[in-house]
Amino acid sequence: MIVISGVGCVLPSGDNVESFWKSAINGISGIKKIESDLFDSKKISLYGHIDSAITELCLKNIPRNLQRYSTRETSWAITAVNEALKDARIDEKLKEKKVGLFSSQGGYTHPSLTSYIDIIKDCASSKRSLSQQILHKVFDERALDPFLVIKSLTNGILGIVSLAMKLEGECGAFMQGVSGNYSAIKSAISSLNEKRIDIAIVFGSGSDLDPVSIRELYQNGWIAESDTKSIFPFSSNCTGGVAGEGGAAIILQRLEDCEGSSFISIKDISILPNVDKQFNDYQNADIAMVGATGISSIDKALCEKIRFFSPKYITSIQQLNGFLSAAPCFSHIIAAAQSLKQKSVPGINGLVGPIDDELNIISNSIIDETIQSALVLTTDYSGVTAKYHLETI
Amino acid sequence: MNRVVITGLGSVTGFGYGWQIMWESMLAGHCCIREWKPDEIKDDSFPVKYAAYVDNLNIPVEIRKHKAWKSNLEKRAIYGWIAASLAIEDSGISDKLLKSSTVITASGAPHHFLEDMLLCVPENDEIDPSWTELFNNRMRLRPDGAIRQRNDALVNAIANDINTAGAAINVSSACAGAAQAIGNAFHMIRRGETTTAIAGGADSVLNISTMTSLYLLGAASSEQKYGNKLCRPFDINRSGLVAGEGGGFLILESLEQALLRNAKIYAEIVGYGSSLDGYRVTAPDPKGTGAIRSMQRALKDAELLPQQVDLINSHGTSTPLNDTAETLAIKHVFAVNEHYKKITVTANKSQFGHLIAAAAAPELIVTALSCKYNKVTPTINIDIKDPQCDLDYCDNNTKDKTVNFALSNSFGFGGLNTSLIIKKYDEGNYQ
Repeated sequence: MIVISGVGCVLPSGDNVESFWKSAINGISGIKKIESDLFDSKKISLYGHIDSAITELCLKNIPRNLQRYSTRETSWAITAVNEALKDARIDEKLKEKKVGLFSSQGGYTHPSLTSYIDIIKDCASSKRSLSQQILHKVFDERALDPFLVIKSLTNGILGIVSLAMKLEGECGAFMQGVSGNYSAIKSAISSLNEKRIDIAIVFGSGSDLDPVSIRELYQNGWIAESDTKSIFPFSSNCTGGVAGEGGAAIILQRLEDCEGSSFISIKDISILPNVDKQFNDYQNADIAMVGATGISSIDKALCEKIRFFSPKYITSIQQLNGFLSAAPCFSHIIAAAQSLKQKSVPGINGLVGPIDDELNIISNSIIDETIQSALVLTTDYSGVTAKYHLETI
Repeated sequence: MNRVVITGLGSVTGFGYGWQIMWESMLAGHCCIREWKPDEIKDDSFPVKYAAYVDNLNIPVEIRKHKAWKSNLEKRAIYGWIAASLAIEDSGISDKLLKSSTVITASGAPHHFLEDMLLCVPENDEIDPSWTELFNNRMRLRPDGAIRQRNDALVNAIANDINTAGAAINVSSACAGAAQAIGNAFHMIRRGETTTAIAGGADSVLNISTMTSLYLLGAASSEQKYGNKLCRPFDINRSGLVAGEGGGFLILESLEQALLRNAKIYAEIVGYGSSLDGYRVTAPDPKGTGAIRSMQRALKDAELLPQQVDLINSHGTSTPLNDTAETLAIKHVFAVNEHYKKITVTANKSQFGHLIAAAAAPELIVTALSCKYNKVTPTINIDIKDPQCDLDYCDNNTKDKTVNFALSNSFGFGGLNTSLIIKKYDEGNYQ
């Protein structure tokens, strides 16, 4: 049996699990007015930001020799992984164990584009053709950071985290989204079950705060127009989604390798490529922690799935952080694990007339000592839906 | 646990479209590395002058009909989609089985066009170039450029094309990407999570932005005295990687399903191992410790003794550091009875360049064909062997050799290593 032995996060609603959970229970959202040096969007007004002061602190967690290769996303990843290892009480024993590292990297990183724009700015006054000047700058003056190619690698966070922790074990690097999170967790569980590793560090980190991602999400109908006030999961007045950023990590181990008496196990996980299709396997769950979208048609389709699991309470944390491209499942798994641990379920602040009258979608936080199991259901812009079943043991 | 077999192959490389032309050209000792420069460069100023690009002047008629050409996908995704279609066609698998298959792909760095970047320059001289200006000009951006493309475009194109209800997974492991995609697919079938997988990758770094970065990093060769023979793994005068482009896909199935539908079987996948270097971002551990762990884990996964391996399809990048470290690692892993002296090592990159995230896919295709046909393609351009590289590299000539077990290595930036083990398919052994 595989259990979650540690969790960590850097999210818009909290820069660690304790502060995130406090925000969840009190209904305090981390979504703010969108701000970026890269663009000025008139169509989009909201975003789940990580404060720059928090990022500054996170950057200090990256060893000095690796900072030149690292991005903001890397700093959130390392910070979340550190917290999760501490939570699992294995940070000191890491070198003695067989550790697997599995990542899901999000967003569209275009550091080279930003750097080229800086070079183009420097070329503005010369009379030579712009392309010639750029080549002169790049090759003769070495104005382009050669490590950009590292920063823009899609496995960047896996490489930096492994180097920061001097890990030598198995690895798997996947792209963002629900399928990326699912694949990372599934690979980790398989490696643990087959005893190739003793500890799995599974994490995701990313940001959609660039015009490419924002426009893509907007054009696909996943984020709302500028007049929206927030994201309203499961609400009859829902107006669409909000993008966000952040990192989250979970530590997985075999139950027999853990010290203690109470754990959260991952009983099973599965995936569907289409939000409209149904799972074949259903187990009752006390709560459903759902990555509801604030998009009416998708949330209604999710309700149809939830019905089969007969949960007592249904909730979401999407309104706290926005859509996290790199950690859609991790963040909801952490929230569900906290619910099981704390015997409480955060409500959806601002919920108006739930879109489904038959399901108990809650607006206020609830304490219930009988909560033992949780369904985590997440979906994303590619239409993939993943299901995780957690249980207190 | 299910046995996993390879039942379909598809590739797009500098040799052309399809595995057959690649295989025949490689057996003949040919190389598809040619003179190259980025589209934006009109003179001789670009320092990297050779690459194994896909020559699209003579696309076969059947390939020209593929719907990928009508899409707005980046060229790497077009090559990948076509390679996947070729593999599907080669396998003869039914649409019904495809509808429940898993698609798992790797595709690397996005393709930046300088002309796109220049759209950040405003017409009004008093305003600084900026992202804002670039996106004011977004309708003028090339639809097939990185700024308008998503990294998961390839996996979604294939999954949508075959209308699968299975998982569509995108791996992002740099130069080990396709190896990890195939390795994950192998494990998924072995565990019984799926019975069919379309696994592989596609990539192209043949654009001004990425090639500039690779050159400045010291990874790409700008050597000119050898002409198109500058990719020379294990030679004393090797000077860096030579980029290729294209893609490769394999159809993997459970043996049970393959036998049931009477599929042609190329070879069996029996082992997958990965490791992290934990050493440096841009350089491999000179002692090859990460590579050692990766190969050892693959052998353990395959329940195979080192002495059983006949062939290693090396990562063999033609970079000074990789080739000596990989040689050391091979000698360490296969030290018992000096078995490394009996192993033939080959480096496909000498013939079709380095396909970066996709590299492992055509290389595994070649490895599977070596198992099936008992022929080893040469490592070309070895004139003077590096004294520190003292293995049998199948120097310059194709070799006839019975290959029962072959290991294929792929190592990525960031210290991410992957090894896969292929077994000759034994028709008499169904257990």
